[in-house]
Order: sequence, then structure tokens, then C-alpha cells
Amino acid sequence: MSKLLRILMYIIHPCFILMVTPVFGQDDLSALLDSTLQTREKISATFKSTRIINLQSNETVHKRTLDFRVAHRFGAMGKNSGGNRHNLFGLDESSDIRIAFEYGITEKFTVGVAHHKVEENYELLGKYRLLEQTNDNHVPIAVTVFTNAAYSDEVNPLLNYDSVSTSEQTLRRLSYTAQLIIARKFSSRLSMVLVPTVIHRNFVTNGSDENTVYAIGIGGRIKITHSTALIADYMYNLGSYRAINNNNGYYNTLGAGVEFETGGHVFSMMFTNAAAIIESQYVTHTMETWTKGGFRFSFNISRTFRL
Amino acid sequence: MKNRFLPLFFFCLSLSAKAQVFLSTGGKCSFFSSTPVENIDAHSESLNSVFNTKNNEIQFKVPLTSFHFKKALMQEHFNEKYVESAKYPFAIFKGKINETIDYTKDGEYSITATGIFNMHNIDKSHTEKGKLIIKNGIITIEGNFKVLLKDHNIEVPNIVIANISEVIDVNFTSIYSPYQK
Repeated sequence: MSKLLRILMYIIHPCFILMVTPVFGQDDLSALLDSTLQTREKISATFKSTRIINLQSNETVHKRTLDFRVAHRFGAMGKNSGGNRHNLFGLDESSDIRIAFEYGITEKFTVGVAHHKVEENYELLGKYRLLEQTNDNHVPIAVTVFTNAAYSDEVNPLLNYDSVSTSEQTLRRLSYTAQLIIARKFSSRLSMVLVPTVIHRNFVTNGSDENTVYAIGIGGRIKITHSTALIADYMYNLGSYRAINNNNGYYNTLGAGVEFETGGHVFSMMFTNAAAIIESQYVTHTMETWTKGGFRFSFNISRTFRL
Repeated sequence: MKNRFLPLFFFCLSLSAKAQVFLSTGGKCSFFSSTPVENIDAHSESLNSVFNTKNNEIQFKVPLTSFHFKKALMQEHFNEKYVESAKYPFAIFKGKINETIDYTKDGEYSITATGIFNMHNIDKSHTEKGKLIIKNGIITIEGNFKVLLKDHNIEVPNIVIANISEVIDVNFTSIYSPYQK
């Protein structure tokens, strides 16, 4: 009896071990390893820089990093818009220059100051990332809010056309922008933005003009190599005063160009019909159109310094 | 009869309860590139590893986006331009420890592991030295090895060629505990 049991046990014993501890192969190890990995990641580098051409991108300046930016819009190239060989097709002129210092207080929050040639605007800006896209599409889009206020230091007799107080005149020099930048990186190559925009100007020279202007921008980039991309953006005015068929002389802006990145620099070279750089100007005051040769050579340069 | 059966039964139970798979999550992994111009280092605490003591098979996996650099722009370039982590998100090692080790005994063992290291979608076979420490049933494996950028088809643009070393030193530490389902 006991012999029989012992024999039985020797048969059962290996079976028992096999049952409870199955063979664990490389594939089982892989599966186990994968189950332990957190794979949700925030998408980074939707754009190389905080601006596409005229439009803001959803990017902010990295934490404790200073972004020194110089942007230049030359004169119009086409004959019907004033370009000719005596001004080297606009290259001898500068319709706007912006010099800016933008600083990342956190990864999400950027502040900046800038000066613009147009209307001698001093700009204060803030930019904050509200939402970041994730690789698993749990969050399918990125949303950044941009806002600025600008003070025009220009000598402008019109500010006092109705003999108001000096403090009222000072207020008339201010303009504001608020934008929501909705972005999606569709692939490592293709990123796009949609930018609903509100601009308010305390003072407009033409009485029938709108103080508050609504517009929507669309833009994107297609990477050609790791360091080069094609960029384009378009800003469409929603108000009736600036509607194309209203013939008040205002146009929507279109820009197209290339972007190069080298280490801490981003160079963008492009053509656009926008003569100004600040939102409260280029959205509301673009008086030239591509169809009449009103496009100009332009560049944006960004140099980042880690402080 | 009963007396003889019981110890054997418990021995059998104890064998089956003995873990053969060990798991490590949140291991440390870092890499260094040093050139006369610039030293670059990046650190991750997301190295996961599994290890089968029965047949010495071992695997490591680390998400490349988990590496943190001192400069955020470098981190962005690392992911975007060099390792292309959106396309190839992990660095993976699958291999085997060559030495026979008594995993029930505490001690420090010099080991070698042979296997395939995959990064940037390119397999490269490696045999690397490491250290295996067993203390109170907890297994720790430490090691370091070198990765050649050109082995993994990672091109460094001319403009930063002086800043980035062709050979990257990698260090890691994984602490394992028995895996129970």
C-alpha cells in the first residue's frame, strides 16, 4: 500500500510543479514587461518655435530659458504694391521690426516684452499651456492661451481729435489680443493649429471701424528633414468691416516659407502680405494682397539661452 | 506512511511557491556623452526589467521619453531628431545571464549577459559585464555598457558634432522583487 502511494507521489510530484510553475519563456517575459510600462506620454515639439509665421504656435519657452527673438518684414515685392529695383523689390525697406525677450517661468508659462517699429508699440505678453496632447490620444489636442497688451508710443495728433484729457489719450494708445491656440501634432511631420482670435483696440481712427475684431487663424508645418520644415499660416477676419467684399481695403494675411533649426536657433524665412508683426496690427491693418504683389520677404529668428 | 508523505508534500509545495520570475520597475538608467566641448547626461527612473531565475533569461525596457536632460531643448532634440522616440519609443535588451548562480544564496556575483540591444529600430548584439547582488531574497543587478551612435543609425548634424560623443556610456541599476500573479 505504502509502496503504491510512494510511486504515485513520484508521478504526481513533477506534475504538481509543472502545474503551478509553468515554463516562462522570453515571450512571456516580454508580455509581463510590457504590462508594467506606463506608455502615456505628453507630445512634445509640436512646433519648433513659439511662432509659425504670423500666427502663434502652441509652444511656450522652456523653463528658465530666454528666447531672444528678432522678426523683420521687408517692403512689398510686387510692382503694384511699390516693389521695384530701386528698393531692391522691397529689401531696402522695412515695414516692421520686432525685437523681443520672452522667458519661460515654468514649462507652461511664458512672459515677454517686445518693441515693434509699427506704431512704436511696446508689447507685454503672456502665454500659458492649458492642455497638452498625449501620444495615446487620451488628450487629442494641445491648447495654449496667448494674450498681449500693447502701448503705442507714436506721435499721433488724431488721439486728441476731440480734445480729451491726457489720461484718456494714453488709454487710446492701448490695444489687446487674446488667442486660443488649438494644436495637433498629426505625425512627427505634420502639425496644425487653429487660432480663434479677439483683438480690442481702445481707439480706431475711422469712426465706422470696429474696436473689437474677431478672426480665426489656421496654420501648420510639414517637416522635410529633422531640422527643416515648410510652414504656412492664414488669418481670416470674421467681422463685416474687414470682409473681403466690403472693399474697405483690408485683407486677410497669408504667409508661407521655410524654417531651419540649428541647435538653439530657429530661422524662419518666408513671404507674407502682412506688413506688421503684432496681432493688433497685422490682423486688423493688412492693406496689401498677394494678388497685387503685396507679399514681402520676411524672417523670424529665435535664439534661446538657458539662464 | 503519513509521516513520510507530509514532508515530501510540503517540499513539493515550497518548490512550487518559490518564485522564478523577478520583476523590477522604476529602475535607474542614465547615459553620458563627454566631449572636450560639452558633457551631456540624461537620467531616467523608468527602467523596467524582468528576469527568470530558472533559465537566466533577462529583459530590460526603458521609454526614451523618460530621460531627463538638464536642458529642455536638448531633451526635445534627443527625442525629435536623434532617437525619434515617437516612432521608436523604447530601448530594449533581451538576453541571458551566462553564469550559473544559486539565487537562494546571498552574495555578490560578477556576471556577463549576452543578448540583443534594440534602439532606433536597430538590433545590436552585446555581451556585457555586470554585478548581481542578492541580499535577503532581493536581487539587484547593476551594469554599464557603451552604445555607438553609428551602430544605431543615429546621425549627429555637423553643427553639433563637437558637442556629442560618438560613444555613449550607459549605466543602470535594477532592484528586483519576486513576481506573483
